[in-house]
Amino acid sequence: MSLKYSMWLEYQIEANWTSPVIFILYNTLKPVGASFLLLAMYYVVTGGFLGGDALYYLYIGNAFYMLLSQTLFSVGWIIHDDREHYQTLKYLYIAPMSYFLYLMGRSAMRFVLSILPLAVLIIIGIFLGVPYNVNVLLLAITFVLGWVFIVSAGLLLCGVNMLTARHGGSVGQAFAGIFYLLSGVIFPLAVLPGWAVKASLWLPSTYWFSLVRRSVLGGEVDSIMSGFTTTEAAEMLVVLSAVFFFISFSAYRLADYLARKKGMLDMTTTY
Amino acid sequence: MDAITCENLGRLFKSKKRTVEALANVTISVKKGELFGLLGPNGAGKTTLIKVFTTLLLPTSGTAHVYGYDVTKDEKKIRPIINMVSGGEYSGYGLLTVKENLWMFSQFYGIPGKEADRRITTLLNRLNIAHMEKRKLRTLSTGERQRVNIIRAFMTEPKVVFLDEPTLGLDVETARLIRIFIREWLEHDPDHTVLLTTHYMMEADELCDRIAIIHQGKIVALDTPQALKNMVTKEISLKVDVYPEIGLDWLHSLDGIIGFKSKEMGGKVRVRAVVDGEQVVGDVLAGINERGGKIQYLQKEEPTLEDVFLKLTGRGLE
Amino acid sequence: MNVMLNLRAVKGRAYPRVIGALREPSWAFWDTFLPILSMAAYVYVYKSLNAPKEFEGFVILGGVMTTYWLNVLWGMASQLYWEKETANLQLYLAAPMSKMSILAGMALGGMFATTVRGVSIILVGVFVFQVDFVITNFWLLIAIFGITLVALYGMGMLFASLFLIWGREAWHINMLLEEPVYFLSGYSFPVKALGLSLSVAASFIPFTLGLDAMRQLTFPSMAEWGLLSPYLELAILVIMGTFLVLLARYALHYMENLGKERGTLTMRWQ
Repeated sequence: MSLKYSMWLEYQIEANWTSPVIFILYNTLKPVGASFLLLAMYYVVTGGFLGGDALYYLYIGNAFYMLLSQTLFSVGWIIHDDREHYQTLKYLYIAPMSYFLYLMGRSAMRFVLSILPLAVLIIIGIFLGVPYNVNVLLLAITFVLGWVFIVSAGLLLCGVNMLTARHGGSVGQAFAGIFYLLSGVIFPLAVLPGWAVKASLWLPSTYWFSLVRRSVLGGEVDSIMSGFTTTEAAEMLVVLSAVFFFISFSAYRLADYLARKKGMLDMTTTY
Repeated sequence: MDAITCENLGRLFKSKKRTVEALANVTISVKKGELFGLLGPNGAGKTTLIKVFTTLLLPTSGTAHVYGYDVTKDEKKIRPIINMVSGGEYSGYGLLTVKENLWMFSQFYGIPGKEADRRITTLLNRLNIAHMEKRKLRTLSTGERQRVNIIRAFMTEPKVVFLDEPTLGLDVETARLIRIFIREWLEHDPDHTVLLTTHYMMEADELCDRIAIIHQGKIVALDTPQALKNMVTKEISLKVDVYPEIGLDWLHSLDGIIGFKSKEMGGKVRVRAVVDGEQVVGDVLAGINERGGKIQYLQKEEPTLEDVFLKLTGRGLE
Repeated sequence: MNVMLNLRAVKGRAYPRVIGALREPSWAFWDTFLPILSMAAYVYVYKSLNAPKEFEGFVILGGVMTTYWLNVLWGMASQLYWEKETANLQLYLAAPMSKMSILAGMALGGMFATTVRGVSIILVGVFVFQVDFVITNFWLLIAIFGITLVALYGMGMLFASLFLIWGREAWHINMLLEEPVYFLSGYSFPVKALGLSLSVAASFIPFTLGLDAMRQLTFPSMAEWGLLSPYLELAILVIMGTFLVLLARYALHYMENLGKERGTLTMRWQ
């Protein structure tokens, strides 16, 4: 029940300020702007928009990154919003429902709402000549595994937010920046320094983006990630997602305990 | 010149589904030096009226003035001479200390640093929270926080203070301290004026020089507390405890009942009624007996402002 | 206008920002370190495309200016939304100071953390990515930087006025002004690449011309990517900045009155 109603609540918070048409437009413009930024960067270097593995790598990676960044952007606000804006955190917390499931529900709905702009970007990709070669089953599995990883990341972020002040608007996006840099999202991993490549191979997101490319483009163009077969990449994603979930959940529980111990569940920190 | 006036003041709130008339033809005038009370239940329009006077809301019709200045045009002249406190207020910045919050707000009124410091220290001592000046605001209790809000309003040395349910949710001691403080502030300068809204009739009775009773956006009575209570001297105020609980709808059709309210209390019901003569008392008691109720307690009381409100509107304040 | 009153109000409102940054140092991680990672990703995109080194410098400079843009959006424009939600706005509005001094105080107070972030980005650019800044006219660069900030903050005050009548709608408009503005203003690429019409349209964002001029003054070898001459861009920014500040003043007054009419000044959870 907490899952169902928290998903409903997330939808209301995200969408009931405007009509559905405006909401769809709003949800699409931001990711499209981000994609066009990268396309412009590609253009100034190469002089064109069409052709090239580098463009498809960049474009598809960024499109699917929107799922991650938009979910984490919203999740990054949940604790601060509930605690300081709506001042409902303490009431939700003491209710018999699981607060953990409440957070999961809200991030799940945000994930679902982020699929629409992704679909728009995929369609735009057709006009850019992205050579789609979709493996539907692999894509479905990738989505499910991606949801687990993204929700885990959200949980970690929520835990940290329980103990920190409300600083600015982009805590979630900033957190997503770690994955943006280290997961081979918009550039091949080989461009990174050696130590960074080693670190990236420990992130579940690296394998997730590789599976995304394989399921959408029909193959892996990253020179480092192409050293893994699809099955190996999926296995790594499953194992690392499980580990990441365990770490995130543990961190969340610790943060929860500390927040209760220090009386931070209803603190106000806006300045 | 009166400190606060309004004439035929009206305020409508329109949405797609409905229009709410929050204020309708409100006319009051508050003299300088007066503690004027606005008494009414939740949703009566008290806060809306305060917002108009404090230049936060424009009226839809009518006029309002503070110290002769029009609230719709002269806000720059009004704001330096007023201040406000709301009940249950959570303003301020939680991670600043009490003194830092107060200092910050003093700067919004252009008070030089040393002078601000002096005023804040005096008021912190006066309201018995000097020992909390270095505590972060978010660590204060509700009562302590409200004292800080009171200091915030009074440290700017306004001529007019608007207090919107200032003792809401406070313990008896803190509420009493604030009431004494308000009275002393008024006595300190004959030009100091307070407009206080409340739905606590005891507070209005105790503090106010004059009271306006507001109900559904309209002023239904305006006079001194004693004069208002005199409105019901010919009537009798009854308090009856009946056991077991019985239906009371029949009271509506009983001749001589001016107004009543009831409260269930664990198996019994307490009825408070205003009736227009001794004979009606007998009719009420007989009616209770006929319906199987037993009188556990009966008291004839001196009229209160609640009785006045009951008489004027047919319902209770709380 | 009471100058002393408004100067005190600026000081008063800047104070919580500075103190907040000192008392809650976690901003250094969330608002400085992590955003640098996202910016670094764009640098690596250029590396992967074997772009000229100067393009990496474009990203660095764009990163510096976007920190101020984000401070405008989140530290100033949307702040009136938070003040409304925490019941401070009504106290600000009932006080005699100008609303612009409150916003200026927020901006100045936030400048500390913003500047730390900006300087960090430059240091990362110079020491990690080995970007070479070749400053051809230091004072012109400072002037353009300063005027761009004035224009940006004027624009921020203009946006802030929207929060006097709107709630979440204005909040979401704020969010929308990140990536699309990055694209239109050439955050990570020379805006001239967008073509003449789009570049001219994008020039209405102060960020665009400011960034373009600063790039020309720090990467002279890439002058062909400049949109207009830095001097012309400075002149346009001066006019734009003056216009935006005056427009903001008018808009704040107009929106306040509109908010008083509609009853939205103190309405929470819109």
